[in-house]
Amino acid sequence: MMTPLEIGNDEWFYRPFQIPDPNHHYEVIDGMLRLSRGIWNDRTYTPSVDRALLLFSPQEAQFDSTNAVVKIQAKEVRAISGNASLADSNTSRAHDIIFDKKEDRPAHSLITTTPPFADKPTAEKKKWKEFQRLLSLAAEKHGWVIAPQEV
Amino acid sequence: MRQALALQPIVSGYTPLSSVCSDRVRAFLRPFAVSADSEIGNTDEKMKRQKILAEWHQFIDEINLLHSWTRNWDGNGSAKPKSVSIKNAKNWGRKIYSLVAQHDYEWRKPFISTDEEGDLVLEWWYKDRNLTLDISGNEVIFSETRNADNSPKITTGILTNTALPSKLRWLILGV
Repeated sequence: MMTPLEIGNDEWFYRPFQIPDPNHHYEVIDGMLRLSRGIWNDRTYTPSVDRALLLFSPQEAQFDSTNAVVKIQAKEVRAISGNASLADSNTSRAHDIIFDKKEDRPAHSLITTTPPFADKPTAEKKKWKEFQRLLSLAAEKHGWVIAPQEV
Repeated sequence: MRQALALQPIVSGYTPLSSVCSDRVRAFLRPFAVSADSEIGNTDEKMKRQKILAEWHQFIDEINLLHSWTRNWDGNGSAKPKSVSIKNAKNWGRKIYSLVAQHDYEWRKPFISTDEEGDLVLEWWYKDRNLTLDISGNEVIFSETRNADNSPKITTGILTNTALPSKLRWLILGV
C-alpha cells in the first residue's frame, strides 16, 4: 500500500501559468491545442505542479484568477525518462514527481530530474529545453483544465 | 504552386505599402527584398508581398511587446526579456521572413516568448512538426520536434545562416 507521500502513476497534477499577452503561449493549430514550451519555465529546472487529489478544484492551483491551468499525469512525466531524444552518451536521466508540501500550497509538488540539469554548459540547457517540450506535448493532449482568459 | 496551409487573410485588396507599414518597420526592412511598391510587378504579386509585410509588421509589434514584460512575467520567476536577445530575434526574423517571401511559403506567426533567463523563444507548429529557436544575444539554438504517432523525436543544434533555409523547408513542407 502506498503512503500519502508516494505518488502513483495514475495521479494527476495541475500546472498553472500566467499569460502576459494572448496567443503567445497557445493556439489551436490543425485541430490540436499547441502549448508553448515556456509554460514549464523554471529557474531551478524543477517545475512546480499541484497534486490534483489534494485539491477540491483546479481553481485552487491558480495563484491568480487569470491563470490558465493544464494537467499532466505522473506516468507521463516518468515515461519521458525513456525518450530516445533525451538520451545522452554520458548521462541518463530519470524524471519524476515528488510531493513537496508548502504551508501556503498544501498540494505543491515538483517535477524532478536525476541527476539534475546544470546551469551550464549549453548542452545541458538543450536537454532541459527538450524536456520542457516533451512536458508540453504530454499536457496538450489533455486540453485545458482552465482555459486562459483573453486579455 | 502555393504551398499548402491556411492562414487568415490579413488584407483583402491592394493598398499602398505606406498605409500598412510604419516608418520604423519600413526602415528596418530597407535591405529586405520586398521593401518598396516600385519593386514589385502585378497586383497579385503586390497583394502577396503586402500580406507578408503585414505579417512582418505584426511580428515586430509582438516582439516589441516583450519590452513591457517584467521580471516574473509568467509567475514562475522568469527574467525580464533581454534587450540584446530581442534585437537578435528581430535580425533572425528578418532573415526568416525574407526566405518566406522568396519561396512563396504561406506563413504562420510563431509563439513569441522568453526562457527563464530572458532569452527569446520563437516556436512554430506545422502539423506534427515544431521548430523552436532559442535566441540569445550571440547565438541561436534550434530544436526540431516531430511528433508522429505520439512518439516525439527532437533534434537540437546551433543554427547557422546556411542551415536556416533547410530548417524552414522541413518545418513548412516536411522535407
